[in-house]
Amino acid sequence: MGSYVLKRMIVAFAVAVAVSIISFALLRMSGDLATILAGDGATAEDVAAIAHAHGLDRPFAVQYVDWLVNVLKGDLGKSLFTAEPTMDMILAAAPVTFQLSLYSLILALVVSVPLGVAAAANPNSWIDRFSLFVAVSGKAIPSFWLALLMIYWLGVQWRLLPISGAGSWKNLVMPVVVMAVSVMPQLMRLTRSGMLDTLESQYIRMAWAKGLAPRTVFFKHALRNAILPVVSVSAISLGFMLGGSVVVETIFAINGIGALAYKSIIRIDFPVVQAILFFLSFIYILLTLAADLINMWLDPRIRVK
Amino acid sequence: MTMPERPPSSEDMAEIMPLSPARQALLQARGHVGLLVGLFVLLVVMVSAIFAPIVAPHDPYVQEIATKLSPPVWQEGGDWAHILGTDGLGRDILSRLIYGARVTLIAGVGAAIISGIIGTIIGMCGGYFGGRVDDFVVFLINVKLAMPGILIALSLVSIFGGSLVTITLILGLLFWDRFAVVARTTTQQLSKRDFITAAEVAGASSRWILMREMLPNLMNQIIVVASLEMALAILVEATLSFLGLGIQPPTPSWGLMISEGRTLMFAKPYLIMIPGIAIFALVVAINLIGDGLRDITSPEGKG
Amino acid sequence: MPTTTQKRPLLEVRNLSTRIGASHGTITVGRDISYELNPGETLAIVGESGSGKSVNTMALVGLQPKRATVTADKLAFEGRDLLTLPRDQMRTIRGNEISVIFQDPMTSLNPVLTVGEQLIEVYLAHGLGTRAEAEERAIYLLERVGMRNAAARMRQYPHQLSGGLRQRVVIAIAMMCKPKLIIADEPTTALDVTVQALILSLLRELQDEFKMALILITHDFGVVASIADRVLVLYAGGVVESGPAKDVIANPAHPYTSGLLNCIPRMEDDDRGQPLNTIPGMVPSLAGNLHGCLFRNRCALAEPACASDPIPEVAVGAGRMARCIHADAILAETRAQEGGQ
Repeated sequence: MGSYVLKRMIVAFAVAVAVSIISFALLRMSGDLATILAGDGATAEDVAAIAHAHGLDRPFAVQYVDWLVNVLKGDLGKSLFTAEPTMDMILAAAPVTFQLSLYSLILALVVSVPLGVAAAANPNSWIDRFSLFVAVSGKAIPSFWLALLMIYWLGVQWRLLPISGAGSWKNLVMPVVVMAVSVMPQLMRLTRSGMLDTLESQYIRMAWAKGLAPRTVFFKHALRNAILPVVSVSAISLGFMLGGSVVVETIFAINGIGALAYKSIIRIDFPVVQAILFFLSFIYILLTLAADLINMWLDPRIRVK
Repeated sequence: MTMPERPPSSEDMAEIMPLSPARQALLQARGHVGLLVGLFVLLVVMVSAIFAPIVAPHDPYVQEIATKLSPPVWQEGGDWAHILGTDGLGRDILSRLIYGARVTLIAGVGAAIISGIIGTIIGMCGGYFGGRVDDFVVFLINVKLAMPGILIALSLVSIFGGSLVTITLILGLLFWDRFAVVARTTTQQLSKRDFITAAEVAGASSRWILMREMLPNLMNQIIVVASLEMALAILVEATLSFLGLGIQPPTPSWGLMISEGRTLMFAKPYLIMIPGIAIFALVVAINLIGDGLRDITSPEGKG
Repeated sequence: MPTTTQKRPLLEVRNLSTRIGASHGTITVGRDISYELNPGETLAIVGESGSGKSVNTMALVGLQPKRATVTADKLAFEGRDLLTLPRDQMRTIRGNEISVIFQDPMTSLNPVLTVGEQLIEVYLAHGLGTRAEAEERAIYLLERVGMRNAAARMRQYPHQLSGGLRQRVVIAIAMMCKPKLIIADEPTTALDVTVQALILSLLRELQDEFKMALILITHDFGVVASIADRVLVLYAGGVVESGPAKDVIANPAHPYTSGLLNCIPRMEDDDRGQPLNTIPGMVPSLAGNLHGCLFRNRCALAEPACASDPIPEVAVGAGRMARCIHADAILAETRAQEGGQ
């Protein structure tokens, strides 16, 4: 078990390094960040000066190693526009995005797991059809459109919720719902298919044969097995929401990671974009690692060798 | 000599009433309401996109300030000249929707094809060669999954500019992972089958086996994934355009139409409703097709 | 039909039928199956795969597949009608008065729960005592089924046990509530040959010790010979022959039974190279209306009369019956062979 964890960590580390190289390369792929930064009408000298100032005239490998060394020292670079350390900017923006994503995940799980279980327990019933309907429409509705619809109806027409800002729990409702809807279909279908497979298994027949109450069979025997893949996908969903918060944050004027990323992307503040991409990948890697550890704890077949 | 544990499956039924697989698929397709509805909607959108100049009642770029913000025909003040109304610049919404379908479909189909080719090749190599190659493929997939897709797409568009071609390419490069996962596992399963072993024994080259033996057998699943990825690509294209880092005005794109209508949405909600419904309906349709194809091609498939 | 005893039988089954609804029509997987079982008795239900031996027996405790409909003129366990019993009352019987042992021990145990938990929960579910008592009984039973370090085993997970040990755990689970009847569905098929014999003798021992009745579902007449008092041979969902195990094995009265008997590899004919005998042909489709003897397409003795309906039950001795128009002739022939040897 120890060696499994170790191997898993080494892979995670390698993935983090690869991600950083690729995102570093992607941002420099156009070859002339300096030209874009200098803007229209800049002279060749201006461009060269800007390139030199940001170290963009050095070979790619040198730039990367330099960056990596600084990252290891805890320095993710400075914003081109505010000269603020990117690390401070990220740490200031991260909590609200984390909060939002976590609430969204919880809401998504609270809705999708029971719905998935109910759908699997009664295949082809109205609840199964309803869950399918929820999944199909949830998967197809563009987040930004759903956000606008909610603003239009809940915020303006019926005046139930504030349409932007922060401070009250009411401000969180719409963004949380929008983000939850984006991950709910997958979690629900996964719970449903996992439950269906599990309910067909021999040990569930055995559980019925033992004369256990349906509640015990579904939750103690079936769900504990069916939930294993849901745990991994929850971690992935959380990572996805952290990166995908850009839509919700720009629409609801929330100053989180997504909004910071959007602002920085628009003005090509590449050190900040770079740092955010790296930060989010790193978080994602940590989340999947955590999911593996949770699965290990839930699944004795991995835990006890 | 054991009793089947489960009740007779559809395969047992097939034994009782033999039907050719193709005929059975056709029969099932005919009975699959979701698939039929999806195909119908997609067909309507495709036909109007292809024949846009004929179908569209107006030029999508022409601004008629005199008739700007004319509501759709079913609302008060609506006019049959502009069935779905006009936008803030007096452009005909139906026409923009029809031309926008071209953008949407090109981005969706293009991205699905590009990512399909990349992902399938990567996945097949991993599944077929195994060992180190497979470790590397799994590593690549993990790296891909760890990158925040939307932010990378936004960054790249902001660097390269938002033309339809760059956006399609970027989406294509971003969504190959699911193809790779499916191609890899299916190839792994197929590798153990007799016909592959036979081809190997007969001395066929890896390339020949992958292209001639594996690929045709993967096609069912690849097409299912492609339809689901196409739906995703359409959503992401709309999102990018909505955020202003996608298709650039005045090109009609559904996401852009919503973005443009946003400032007036409280007074004129139809400006965001109509393109939103279009995106929603098309994506639902494509997902229904994907789910339907999966149901038909793999009777065991659930969820 | 077996002769009636003075005591009321533990289980009475009369004309049990099972149908499975399918999109192309109904499939009858069980047709007018009747038998009785006395306390402490062992009945073997024998047939090939697809004979319906499992489905129809599991139907006793309501464990038939979801799409199956079960009907019977009588289905009584200690006088209680199992067919009309409300679900929650059926639950108090399942696992408690009637236990089930499934075929594959590798998949019968829940992978995420400890062995101990899986033993204890059935005891607690039926309200037989406290957790401590349940644990005590669980440990006692694990020891009784031949596991060393029972207390340590309780904390282990199924994947840590071999197939043979898992089947012992499954048997212990079945015994937790002191059932009056155990239904064992091919309990040894998935195990290796050496382990098979051990598990069978364990079952036999436990059965004697705890005075349980046993219904053993099997395709293997070797198993029948070693454990069963009486035997019921099923073919295509219907009973073709029944009677005391010894008599049926010695002198089968139905061509199908003698076919099955010829399939047992005999130790004494040491013809290693000779392939195992099998009955040629396949079980017919059970869809739609069926008539006549369903074995006729595989039977060497088939004649036009075999297609007429219904084939009568022929009483062929004490407590014996066979559903074949040639039953008496076959019996006379097998007896003559026996006499001649």
